[in-house]
Amino acid sequence: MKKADMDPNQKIDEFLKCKDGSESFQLDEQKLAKQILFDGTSKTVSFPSIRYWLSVAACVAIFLGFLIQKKDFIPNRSSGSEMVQATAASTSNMDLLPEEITMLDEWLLASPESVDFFSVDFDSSYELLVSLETIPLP
Amino acid sequence: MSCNSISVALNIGVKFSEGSEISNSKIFRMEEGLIQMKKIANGDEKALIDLIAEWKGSIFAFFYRSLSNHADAEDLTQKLFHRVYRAAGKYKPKAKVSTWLFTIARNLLIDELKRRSRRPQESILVEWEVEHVSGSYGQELKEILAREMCKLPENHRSALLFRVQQEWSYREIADMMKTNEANVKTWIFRARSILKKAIKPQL
Repeated sequence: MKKADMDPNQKIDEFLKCKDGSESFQLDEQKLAKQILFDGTSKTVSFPSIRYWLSVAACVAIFLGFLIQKKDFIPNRSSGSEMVQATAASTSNMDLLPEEITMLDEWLLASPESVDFFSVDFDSSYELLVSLETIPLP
Repeated sequence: MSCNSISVALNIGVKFSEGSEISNSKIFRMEEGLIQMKKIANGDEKALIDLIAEWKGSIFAFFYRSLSNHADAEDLTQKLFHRVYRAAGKYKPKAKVSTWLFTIARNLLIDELKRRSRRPQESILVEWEVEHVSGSYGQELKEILAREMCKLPENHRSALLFRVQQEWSYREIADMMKTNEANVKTWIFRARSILKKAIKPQL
C-alpha cells in the first residue's frame, strides 16, 4: 500500500468532501424550483384572503358588540301605569312613620282624582299642601 | 481604485476604502449575489434554478456528512432552498451568498439535531443500520468516520466541514459561527484528532 493511501488526514479529507455521496444525490433543480415557486405563490395568495376574512370578522364582531351595548342602554318604554305601580311599590317599601302614612292617606283622599300621579291637579294639590302647611307661603 | 468599483460598493452598501481587505472581485461577487437574490425574491424561476444547480451538491454534502443519512440530507437540502426562497428578499450583501446559505443550512441542521434528540433512540439506530451496510475496506473506513462524525459536537463538526468542504479561512468560519479564530482552530484540531484516532487501527 502506498504511503499516500495511509495518510489519515488525506483519508479524512476525502471522506469529508463526500464526492461519492454528492454524485448519488440526484435532485432535479427545475422540478424543485417549480415546486418552491408554486408553494410560495399559493401561500402569498392565501395570506391576504386570511387577513381579509379576519378583518371582516373583527368588524362584524365590533358592530354586533356595539349593537348589544346600545340595546342595553336604551331605557324601557314602560307605560304610565307601570311607572305608578313601580312608584307605589317603592313607596310601600319606604320606612314611614304612622302619622306620615295617615297624612299621606288624607292627602290622597282629599283629591280623589289625583290617585293617578299623571292626572294630578297641581292647583288643588298646591292648595292642599298650603292648607297642610307643609311649605311656607310665598 | 476604479470609479466602477466605488459605485458598485456604494450600490451594495459596503464600506470600501483603499487598503481594505475587501477585494474588487469579492465586491462584484456580492453584488452578483444580491442581484440573484432579488430576482429569486421576485419569483424569477431561472435565477432559482441556477442557485439550486450551483449549490445543491455542496449543501447536500454538508448535510450528509453532518447527519450520515442520505434521506435526511436530501430532505434538508430541499428545505433549505424553500427557506432561501422565502428569505431571499431579506438578503443583505454583508456576506457572500455562500456564507449566507451555509448559515441557513447550519440553522436547519441545528433544528434537525434538536428534533432528533427528542425522538426515541431506537428509530435512529434502525436508520443507521439501513444506511450503512458494511463492505470493503474503504467502506469500513467510511463507516467508522461517519460514526465518529456523529459523535462530535455540532460546532466542531460544522467548523471542520466548512474548512474542508468549502475551504473557508479560519476567519470566515469564525465570522459565520460568531466566535473567534482561536476557537475555530481548536474545534477543528480536536475534531481531526478524534477522527484520526478512530481510523488509526485501520491504516
